[in-house]
Amino acid sequence: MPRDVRFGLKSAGRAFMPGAGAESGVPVGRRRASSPPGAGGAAPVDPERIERLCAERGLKMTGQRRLIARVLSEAQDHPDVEEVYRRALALDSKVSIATVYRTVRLFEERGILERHDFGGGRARYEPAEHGHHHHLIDVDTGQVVEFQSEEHERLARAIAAGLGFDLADHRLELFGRRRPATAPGSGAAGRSSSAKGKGGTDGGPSNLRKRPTDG
Amino acid sequence: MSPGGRLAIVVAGDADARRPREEIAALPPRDTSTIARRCERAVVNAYRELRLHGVGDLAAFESCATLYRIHHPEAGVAEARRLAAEWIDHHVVNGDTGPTPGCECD
Repeated sequence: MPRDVRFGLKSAGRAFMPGAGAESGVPVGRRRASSPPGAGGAAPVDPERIERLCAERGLKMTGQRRLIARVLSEAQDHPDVEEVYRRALALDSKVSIATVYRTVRLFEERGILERHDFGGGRARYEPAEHGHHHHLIDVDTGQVVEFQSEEHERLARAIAAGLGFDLADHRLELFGRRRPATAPGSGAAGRSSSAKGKGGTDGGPSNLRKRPTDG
Repeated sequence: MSPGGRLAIVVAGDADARRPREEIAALPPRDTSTIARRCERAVVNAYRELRLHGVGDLAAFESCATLYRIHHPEAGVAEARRLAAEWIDHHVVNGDTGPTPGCECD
């Protein structure tokens, strides 16, 4: 039974259907927290975080870039460009999809955003520099769970060392299907009850940590 | 449909917010003959015309990305969207002049 598991997934309501056309690629993601592992709750979202990063990197901020930066800063999932566009449109009906595409690409080129390809035909984005973590993608819903695993880190370093290398970086993407929940009282197996960081998944490694959430 | 001709593919049903025709019409009428690339001219003109005819932003954009791939069948979807976004944002949204990144064709 894993200990010290922090829940890193928060349903945002709409599901991503990988086979239903990329147009509906709206991920359901996690609520990000910037508090250190083990801390209770999540740090509040900073709506100006990306704008600050842009300023640090010498990017000229137009009104529309500022709007898109705000949408991305407030995102608590891993939205694709069209989802960013929809959210920006809700704030400013004049924003153009072309501007969103171009701006997101610019942010990625400048290292402000990190791009992920989790399948489904659309790239998804998250702010860069928010800690080393990996992703587990629910293949049925498109939910993206961020997690950290010390065991995996040790294994990756050991593999690299065994090949004569020092590990510089690595990425891990797991694609999974959620196990059906078991009846109450039937034992440890079944869905994680680690929403509040108390319990753990069945049979998972003891040092697996989901990214913290305020959920 | 010839690559240099009018865009005949229109994605219908775009209920997203549509920039009023008046706004598109009010944009400086760019002389796109100054754009060196034929595919870029086609994309920019197509976007303007589609929007003027009431097609939503998202649908017009996707149509223009498709138009680019008709000019460049070797290009992937991502590349087409990237360039369509670059050119539309540069020429139509911002009304900028000057060179743009893109393919090497003329």
